[in-house]
Amino acid sequence: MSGTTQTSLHRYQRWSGRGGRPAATGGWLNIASTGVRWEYKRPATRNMVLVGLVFVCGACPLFYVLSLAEALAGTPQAQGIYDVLSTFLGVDLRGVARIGEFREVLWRSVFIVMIKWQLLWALIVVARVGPGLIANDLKARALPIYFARPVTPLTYVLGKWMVAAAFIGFVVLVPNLLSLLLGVLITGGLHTWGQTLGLGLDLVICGLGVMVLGGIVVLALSSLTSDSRYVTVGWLAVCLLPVMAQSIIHESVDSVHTTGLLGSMSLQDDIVILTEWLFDMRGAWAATPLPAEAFERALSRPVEPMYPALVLCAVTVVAALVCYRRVVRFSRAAANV
Amino acid sequence: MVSEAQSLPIITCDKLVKRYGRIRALDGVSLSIEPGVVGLLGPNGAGKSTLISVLLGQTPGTSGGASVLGLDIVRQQRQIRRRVGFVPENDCLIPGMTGTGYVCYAGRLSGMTFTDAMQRAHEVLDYVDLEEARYRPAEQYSAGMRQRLKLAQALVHDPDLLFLDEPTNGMDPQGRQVMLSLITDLGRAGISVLLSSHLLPDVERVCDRVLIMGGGQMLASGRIEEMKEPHPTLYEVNYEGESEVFRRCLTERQVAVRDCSDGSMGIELPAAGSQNLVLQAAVDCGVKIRGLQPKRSSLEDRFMAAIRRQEHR
Repeated sequence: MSGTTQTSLHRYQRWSGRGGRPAATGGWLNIASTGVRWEYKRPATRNMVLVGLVFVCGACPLFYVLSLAEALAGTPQAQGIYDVLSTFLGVDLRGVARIGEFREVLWRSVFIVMIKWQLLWALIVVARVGPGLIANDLKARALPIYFARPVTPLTYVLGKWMVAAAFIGFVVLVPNLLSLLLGVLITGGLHTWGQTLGLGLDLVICGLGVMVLGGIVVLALSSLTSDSRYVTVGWLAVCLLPVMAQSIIHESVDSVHTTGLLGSMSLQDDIVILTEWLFDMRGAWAATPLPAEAFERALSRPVEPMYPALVLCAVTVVAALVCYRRVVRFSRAAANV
Repeated sequence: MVSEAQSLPIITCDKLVKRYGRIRALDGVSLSIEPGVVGLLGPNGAGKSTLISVLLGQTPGTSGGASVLGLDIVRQQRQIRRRVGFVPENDCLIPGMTGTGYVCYAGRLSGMTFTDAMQRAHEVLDYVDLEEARYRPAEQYSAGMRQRLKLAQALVHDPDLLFLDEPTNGMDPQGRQVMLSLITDLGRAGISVLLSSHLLPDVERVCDRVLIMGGGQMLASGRIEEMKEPHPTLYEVNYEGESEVFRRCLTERQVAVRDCSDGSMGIELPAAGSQNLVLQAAVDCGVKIRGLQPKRSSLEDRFMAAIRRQEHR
């Protein structure tokens, strides 16, 4: 080795950190937490998450109106309240004397309405957060940073999925649970806790389902290209085109034929149908003394839940496979990118 | 005294083969690399990046075996990656991240806690002379700063072995000097380095040993000083007289003439120690010998010779 001039002022110091060696901790959690923190620093994303809390502001007055309806049922003052509930929930409660007896089904209706709007907002939030998750790493050729370290393709996918899932959770799961909590506080009474425990669990299941599906679909799209703009277009196409196709089919084909697979093309509709099935809305309303026409507007099209479940599972599995295979391919080429 | 760990090879390969379809990117590579700063030379497509990729466990080898730091590349991939650092050839910076954020993130991916990773990020950024720019977004860095940032991310978890792929690419002469000084210092600090480069002067300056690859095979390897030792049969003659006549006389005595210019000639003797043949030829054809000295091979000569031999095969 020939002699060299030491240009740097410093000498390399070996690391004398804890244990002398880095600990083996979950890499996916590091990828996820860094991704969420970094994304949350962007003002537009932060504002979008905050707007997601508007759903809480919408739900709380409804719970208050419901508690008023319970108190004023059968009185002339209740007429105005019935009109409000009919407008927002699609349920006609005129003639019901003891509204408090089917409080749970009314609350579930409130959450169904909320989830429909939240899905739309989640679509926009994911369109902002998700497209760059893998595409930006590809564009910046940053994959060697991950795959020259003890990070496996599965760890990487899991970490990136967690970022998208976290933001979906911020606008779907968190507002719902917060609304439920505030609803219980507004209504008062300890017995409300017992009535709504099952609802809380159902909301968690529903939220996790949306997080899994939305996260993995946008991640799969993000792994297909290094240009996040194409991913955004792809994501909007995947979410919106089936809705349009579904409406056209629904208008032009006899409704009997749209209860199977043909009626399960839209991912958003499928999620709503499965949520209604999970909440057992048809059964719960049918158990009330109300006539069918009083709550028909509050329910979605009658579709066999098996078909939406099949479609959503198939989409999730295909997206997960596409994403994983692509990332495995990238990891093998990481030294050469 | 050299400890046992220091004397063990850092990388061993045994008939390592990597095929991509019909192409043999690595064609039975066998080698053993001692600790130190080692240069990996070869033209484009020689298999250098594939070798690094296989050693990092990113691409599985088709057949044969290898170990890095005594760990098997198939069964102990994660342990290997925890103990090696990699500086890729291309930019691998995450847009929007500051220098500190980027290096800290790299540390966390290696399994360090946030506090440790952040503390260590400051240390290594200081070491690579980026302390002033540590809070600037990495995309605002110059080419030289980017290369040093890449080195910092590879050092954050204090590896025992560094893979450097063209670390001086795109750097100005001053930046190149800094980078080479850092590599030399890392070697002194006990970190082994495998430096893949096209730039022979860089390799010559910082490396103890060199490996020359071509067509997926290991063509030559050895200590740089040994490679540059005087050749026993190659000589350079300085003379005064008729070139053509002298050339003919030498050829008649089985002395091959490699290159010829006015007053100087590169020759290859039929055997070591047969310099008298040149003196006799000079006497016979009336040429005055001004000088006769053995030729020292440069690294470039050895590199070109190895590549030529491989092409003729």
